[in-house]
Amino acid sequence: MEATTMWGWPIWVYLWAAGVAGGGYFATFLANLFSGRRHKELLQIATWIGVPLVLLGSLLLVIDLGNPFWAWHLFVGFRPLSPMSLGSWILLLWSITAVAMIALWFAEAFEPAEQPTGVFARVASWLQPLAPATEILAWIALVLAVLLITYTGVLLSNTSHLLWATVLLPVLFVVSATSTGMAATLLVSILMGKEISHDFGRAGAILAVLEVLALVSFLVTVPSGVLVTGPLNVWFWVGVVLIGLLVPFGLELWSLRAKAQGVLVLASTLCVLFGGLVLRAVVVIGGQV
Amino acid sequence: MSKAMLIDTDFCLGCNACTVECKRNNGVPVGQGIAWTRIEEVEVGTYPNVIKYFIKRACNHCTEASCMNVCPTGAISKPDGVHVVINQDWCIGCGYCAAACPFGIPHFGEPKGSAQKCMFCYVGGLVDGQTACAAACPFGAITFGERDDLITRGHQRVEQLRRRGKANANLYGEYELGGLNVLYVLADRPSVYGLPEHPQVATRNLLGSWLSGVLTAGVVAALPFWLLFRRRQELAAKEISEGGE
Repeated sequence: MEATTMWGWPIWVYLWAAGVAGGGYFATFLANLFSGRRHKELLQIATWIGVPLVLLGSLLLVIDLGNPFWAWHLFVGFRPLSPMSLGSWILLLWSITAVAMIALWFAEAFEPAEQPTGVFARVASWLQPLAPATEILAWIALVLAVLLITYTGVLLSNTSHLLWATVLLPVLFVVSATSTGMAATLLVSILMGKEISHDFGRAGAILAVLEVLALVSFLVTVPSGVLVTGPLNVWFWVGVVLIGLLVPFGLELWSLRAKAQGVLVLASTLCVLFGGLVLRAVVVIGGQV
Repeated sequence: MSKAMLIDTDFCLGCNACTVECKRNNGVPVGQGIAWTRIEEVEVGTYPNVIKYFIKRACNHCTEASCMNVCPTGAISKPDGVHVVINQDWCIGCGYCAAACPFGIPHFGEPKGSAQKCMFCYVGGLVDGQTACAAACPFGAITFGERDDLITRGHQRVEQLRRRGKANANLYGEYELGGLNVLYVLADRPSVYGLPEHPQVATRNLLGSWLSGVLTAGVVAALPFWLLFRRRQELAAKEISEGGE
């Protein structure tokens, strides 16, 4: 029986954006935590870019609805059995938490002496006593970020489309979200002229290997012919495997030895982000063929 | 006891009287690509040995309804506890029910609007005490009645078909997805008619899919960060302590 509805480009762009937002937060939170808080700036960048990405993704979701003006119906009830209901709440709560963290970071860093009478100074002085709460919010946002990147896979896997209906899809999307999210954060910080620790290149290379493993186990458990040999095979092999995984893996390893580290990491982040987008696209389109 | 329908594909000649009466009775829009019920043709074999079957495609009102499970707004419910109804004044048109349905039934018109499917005449009301399609069918291919009675009748019809040489004849829907409330007398395997042989509830892996993702994040994806950044921190701590001595 033919598919009666098409989840088109707004859906796969949204799944990618939500993955980048949640994955970037997740990756940089861990890097910051394990390194003894030496990557707080990257965590802040990830939070900063995550909020507009989630908002953009949500906007795409809403315009793709049959009745966009009724989108608020999503927030009248809470239906944990529906991945989309849970996901909507996760998106909302992560965004609120992230915005609160950004506000508190701003207040913490604000120097009243610079601008003692402005609106910012007043807001900052209200918020400053709350700054210690950032630590708690950061952990809440971590839990929500993990749920957010998982949800992008759970959404698709709880359907009757054979390509999607596997518990390995959330596995693949979680690994891909972590690497694309980290790539987006590194991309922005390189563009801001910051030095990047070699450890991120190494982490990226390991994530690429993990993603290959996740991808292979996904492909062998579902009828994946549509991706591997079927109409989407060029996009799959060139976009996902070559540009999204092999090329950045090589660039990341190369960047550990080369002098022009920044350029190589920059190129690898662009490849990872592109590959992640193509992965969402071929999975969403391929499932409905 | 609950009301159900029995679709006897052996009696269906594909006249589409059901399609038309359904639209009239339920006020289903015309010309927007919407049909709460419709007839599909299936051709089996090659010339000159060709058989053409007709199958009525509409919601099967599953006991374990995937669409109802995944609906994010609660617009899909069973007001009478049996039949699946979409509240079209609450449905946001996200399309999740369409992706979840094992039979690919919910669909959208142009403009998209709310999800569309058979409501078991909950919207338009019964016609002469039965669903509009059953009332309209001139060949007795659609029978409205108590589900238990229809199952008995369905098994009798399957026996008749088998005696006529249709060895693969079967009754579809008695047990599938907790029991469908639309049953089918089929002259051949379900897959011949485009029906899934073993339909499964879309949310059967709900917990497993959440767990696999969260565990992947917590164990697999976190691994490189734990390995690399923790080691760096230890090295730095070591350098400091050695430098201090």
